[in-house]
Amino acid sequence: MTQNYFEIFSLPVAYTIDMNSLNQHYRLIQKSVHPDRFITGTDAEKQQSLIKSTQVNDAYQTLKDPVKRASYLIRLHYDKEESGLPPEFLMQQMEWEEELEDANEEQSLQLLSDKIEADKKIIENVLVVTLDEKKDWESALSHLSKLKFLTKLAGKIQQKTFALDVS
Amino acid sequence: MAITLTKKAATRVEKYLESRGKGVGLKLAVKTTGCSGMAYVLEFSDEIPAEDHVFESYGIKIMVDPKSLIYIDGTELDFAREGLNEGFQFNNPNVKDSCGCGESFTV
Amino acid sequence: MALLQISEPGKSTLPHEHRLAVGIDLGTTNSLIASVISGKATILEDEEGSRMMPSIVHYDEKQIFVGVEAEKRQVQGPEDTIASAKRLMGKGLMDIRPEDFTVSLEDSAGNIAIHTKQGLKSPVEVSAALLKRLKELGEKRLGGEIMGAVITVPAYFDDAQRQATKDAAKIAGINVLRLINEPTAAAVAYGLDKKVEGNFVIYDLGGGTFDISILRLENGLFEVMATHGDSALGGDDFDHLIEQWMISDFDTPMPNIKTKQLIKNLSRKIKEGLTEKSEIAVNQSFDGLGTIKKTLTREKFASLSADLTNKTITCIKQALHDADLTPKDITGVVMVGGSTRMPIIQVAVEQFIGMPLLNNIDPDEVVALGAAEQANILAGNTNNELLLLDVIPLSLGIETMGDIVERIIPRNSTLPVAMGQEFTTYQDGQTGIVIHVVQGERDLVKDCRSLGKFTLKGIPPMVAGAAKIRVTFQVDTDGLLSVKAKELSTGIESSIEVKPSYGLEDHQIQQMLASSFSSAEEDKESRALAEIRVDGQQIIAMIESALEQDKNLLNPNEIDHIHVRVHELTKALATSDRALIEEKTKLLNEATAAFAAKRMDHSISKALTGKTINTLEF
Repeated sequence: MTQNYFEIFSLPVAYTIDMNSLNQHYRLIQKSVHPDRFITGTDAEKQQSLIKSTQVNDAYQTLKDPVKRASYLIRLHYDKEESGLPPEFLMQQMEWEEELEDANEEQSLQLLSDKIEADKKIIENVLVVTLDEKKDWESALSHLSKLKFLTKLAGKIQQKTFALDVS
Repeated sequence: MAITLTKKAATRVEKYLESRGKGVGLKLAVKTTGCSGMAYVLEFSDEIPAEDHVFESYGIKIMVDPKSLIYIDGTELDFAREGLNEGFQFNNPNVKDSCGCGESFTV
Repeated sequence: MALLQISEPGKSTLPHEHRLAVGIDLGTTNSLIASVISGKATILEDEEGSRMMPSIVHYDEKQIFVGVEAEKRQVQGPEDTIASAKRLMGKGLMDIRPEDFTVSLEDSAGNIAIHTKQGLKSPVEVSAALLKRLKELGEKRLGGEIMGAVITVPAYFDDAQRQATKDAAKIAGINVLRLINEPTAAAVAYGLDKKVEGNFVIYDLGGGTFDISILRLENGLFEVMATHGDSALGGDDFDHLIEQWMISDFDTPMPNIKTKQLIKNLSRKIKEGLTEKSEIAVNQSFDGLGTIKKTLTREKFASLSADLTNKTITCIKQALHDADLTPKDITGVVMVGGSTRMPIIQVAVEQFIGMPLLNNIDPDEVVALGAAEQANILAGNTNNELLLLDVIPLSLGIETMGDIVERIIPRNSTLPVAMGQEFTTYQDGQTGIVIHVVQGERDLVKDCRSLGKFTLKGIPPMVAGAAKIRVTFQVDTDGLLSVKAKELSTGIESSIEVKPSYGLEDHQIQQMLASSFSSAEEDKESRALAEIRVDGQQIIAMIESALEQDKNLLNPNEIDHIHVRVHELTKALATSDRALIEEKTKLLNEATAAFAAKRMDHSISKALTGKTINTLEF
């Protein structure tokens, strides 16, 4: 039987995750399987350690990130990858994009960034309820799409801030 | 008899122990293997095993287990240089024959 | 007669089985070799007591001079003397400024070839000559054969540059335990020696490369959080600015290569002089150029080089951003590389981070010392459980329609990392697909480094779009890429033909290997046989001891199967049939793959004690 990513780190299969345990278990596991531990080992050991160490890194990156974690959790339970966004959110999206376009100094970018971060927090809290309590995968998919968009937008804001800083 | 260090060896050991940041002294022993019967063991020691004989030379503690002592009693540990290579050397009065590599011997 | 070193408790080796491991800092300007001797990382000095070897190779008709001997011949024969060969590693002629080199360079099937009195040489061979000299020195100093080396590379080296370095080691007859990043090695030296913990910025300005790494040091785990840099920025560029400043009053071009070399050397001296003094006066005449009479103050130098300095600070900002940290999260800044001795650099970095710099380990030696520590750990000579988790410095991507790069492995991903991608055919009956792999952060293929073209062959003929080829891009702990492909509907393992954009092909390496050892043919054969025998014996010993410990993880059938393979290999080892031994070794490895995996799972569940873990198969 193949283990899922949560089981690899011996964590409960849930969106709410104990970050400390994840980090700690990740490090303990890498200390056991990392290719550096098998430099003087047999070829079979070297190959297995490369495979396992790679998988553990992949699992860790997935669980560490709220978007990837939610998406992975949904995939474990629900046979659908994407869900449409409500029209009002699409409108909101366009407004945000415009705001980003117009923000050309650090202060306005910071303001926008704070707003986006606050919205992200709200959606993450909604995801806790829909995923861990209601287990409503369909509605979780729709919230996740929003979170994905906001995360991308936050990245764009940071990039723009950074470009200002460099120039 | 006893196990001793030359002054030169003791200075080196002291330096190495200091840079290592821990350790109570040296462990000297023999293993039965190698190209002519027995091989020397030279290690840092982080503890003093109850059954070991403890010698002291220039302030450095040297731990030797009773079995090994039979083969190396009277040994003087020296620090030597050969060409570019430097390291420790066992001057062991019990040795009848050694393999030429200096790391294994017969008694 | 060999002399002994003091081992860590329980780590003594048998005579003739010492695991002598070294760290090598193969630098642009200087190279160093170090090893842990009696518990202490130590630079291995040469016969003259020098701790650094100039990374210079000089070719005359018969001989190859390396290091100081090559440096002596540099002024007289600059056109036969190769310095800074590291800047040419894994590069094409288009990537470099040939005028920076005193030797003449030409293109050879995409790679750089250097004209010497002994014919065309690749930068890999030049580096191999340096490595070989260091290896010989190491073996003399350690009194035995070196089992393996950790070789450092700039964190920002791409796949082609890393591969070139590994090839050079192979030609020099060195077993590479690991390639590690220079800043990471420096962090190891500080972390182990000074026993520090926290978030560290490693600022590494070498002769030809600049790297920034952010590392978290905690509980025996060194995690690289982000890395940034510029593989074409280094101390040499500061020399270059001084050169330009010196000749800026003349409008004639450089009269000859010798004058060029003299001015180059003088520029470096001025730069180094400004570390101690606040100004340096020049009053010297040059053949064919005239007299240069000028004074360079530290302030003037600072303004000349402000752009370069700022470039490095920008890199720190980017790395901090990638690591999600701000300057106030930083516990310390480690300065690496001789160029960080420049006061203008120290002031700029100190001002930006807002804390004094860590430079109590010689910045020229810290990388080699850290590499030696890591080599010692990897070779199994210590009880230290330190583990390094490094990252891939540059994103990997593939070319898609319209010359656009599709990113498959983002930079700063922890190694080892793999990513799968599905491809399909676009024509009926198509049996091959070409995948162009590039490395870099830009969106257009032409702005990234081309690593190579992978041609998938042997796809079963089907209608367009029906084939599903799963391609896996794996980057190992050395930061090197390998590609595997499988047709999903038929399960046929597709063969891959790799055409690297840069670098040597296997047969070229074999040729260089052959020419670097002048031994007779049968000699080589007997050595190869001896090596494979030792390997075979070691594998049997390892597997037997593993069975001893963990027999309970296997069922009797599995144990029998392994025993059969062990027996077969044992029988093969009694013969002189190299091919047979190779085959049986391979079979034994295959037979123990599942056992190896189970043992790893077992050690994981032991590590996570207290938690219930049944079978860990993933």
